[in-house]
Amino acid sequence: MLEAFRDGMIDGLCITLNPERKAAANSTFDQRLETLYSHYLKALRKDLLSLSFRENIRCNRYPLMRDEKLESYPTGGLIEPMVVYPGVTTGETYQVLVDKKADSIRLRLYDESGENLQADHTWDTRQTAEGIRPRQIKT
Amino acid sequence: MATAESPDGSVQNLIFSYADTKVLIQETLSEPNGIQELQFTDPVATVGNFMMMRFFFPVENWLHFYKVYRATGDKRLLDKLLESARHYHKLSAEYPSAAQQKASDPEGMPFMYSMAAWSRITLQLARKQSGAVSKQEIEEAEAFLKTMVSVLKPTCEGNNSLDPEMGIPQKLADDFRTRAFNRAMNGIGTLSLITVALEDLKALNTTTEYQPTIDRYRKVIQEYIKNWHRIGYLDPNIEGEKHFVYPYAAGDIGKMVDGGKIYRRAEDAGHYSHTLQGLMLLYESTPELGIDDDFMTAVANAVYRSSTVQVEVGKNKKRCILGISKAPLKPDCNQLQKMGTSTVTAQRESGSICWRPSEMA
Repeated sequence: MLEAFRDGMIDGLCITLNPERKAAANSTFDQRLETLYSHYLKALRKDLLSLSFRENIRCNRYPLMRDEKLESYPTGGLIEPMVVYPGVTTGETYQVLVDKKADSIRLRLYDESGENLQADHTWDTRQTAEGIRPRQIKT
Repeated sequence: MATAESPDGSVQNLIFSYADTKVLIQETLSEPNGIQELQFTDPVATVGNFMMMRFFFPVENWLHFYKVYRATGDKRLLDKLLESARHYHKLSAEYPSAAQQKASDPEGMPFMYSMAAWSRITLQLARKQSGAVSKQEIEEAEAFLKTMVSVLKPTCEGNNSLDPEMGIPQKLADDFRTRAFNRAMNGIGTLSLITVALEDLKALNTTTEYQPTIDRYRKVIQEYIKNWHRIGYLDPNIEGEKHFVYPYAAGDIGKMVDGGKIYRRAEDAGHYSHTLQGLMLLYESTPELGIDDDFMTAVANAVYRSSTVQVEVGKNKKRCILGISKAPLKPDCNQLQKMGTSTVTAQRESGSICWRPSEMA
């Protein structure tokens, strides 16, 4: 769970282990549960962004449904706009580059060769309701 | 962090795949329901065995059900919690004196963990998605809460003998000042679950019936955390970060040396992990009472440091990492207790644990 409060915690706790032992240590039920739960806590702390490839590309902030007064946020958690793109085909390979900065997230989608850019968009992640804005946690 | 949507529409992160999540849920569901005491034909023997059981770690199966539910939202895990919740509800209703005695200090309160967790999740869900919970489930959650309030009444309520400093029942205040933090924190965490579940019930039923109880529980939790913070030490600036350290014993007030707090015995990582399990509930339920993002970050910083920094220990100046938290390996408690782990420590010849920046590697 501490990974949610300080990035690199899991790697830090494995600092004395070689790669094989590290993989073994993280393959147990307890450790997989800790990893999953830490991601839940990150979401609880409103620090989770979603990029989904649907008929268009959507950027959402989670959790997105309601604020503490159980009122829906104006756009749900959607950070507009929804971006038109050629789509992705099952079985095909693509290159995806994501740049996450304090106030923005940029997605670039290339074909397998990396030569043909199919989508490039930067979302302003400040464009969300106050209650679901990411908090800046200093670690 | 990038995420993808699973076939049922729930959000899955790409680090932990949908298939992995399904496997973990199945593994968790295969665990027993966590009822602790042996069942005898003679109920007196059963209750006697219940009184001997230690619930304060807390019961690991309940912890697993709770965490995996929170991380996945799979309702089958709620049903697993409900099995033991019903069991301890029945026991508390049939043997109220035993239940009250068991919950007369924070160490015993976590016997109600599954009742509290199930009630909290159910009522929270009812508030968020009115169609997701049936009327019968809300009634059952209310029944659990009524029982837990009754169980806790002699311990937490009443104004006859209040501690002048804390403003809570004297016996409980005295307990806060003496009981090891790791033994108490899951009880306080359980109390925080009950408190917010009562607030959920209040909102759903638009009743103020439980308001005095809610106010008292919040006061109890707040005083516990204040005392813990007072004994512990929030170092404001270790390499630019906040770190929270504390001793194993509640009575170990420590002393300041070279800008750092020295305890006779700093908390070891094994016990710190039990404290964290209670903190997890407090963070999720009542962060406004002092276990918020900033504080949890200070805890994470302290654990990270103790897990990665090397020091020289003893006459032979043997170099070693201070300790290791629960992840990824189970700690060697004996070794960790000798070393101390919740802060940068070194072992003096006297065997006491101290903190000295100059001994850092």
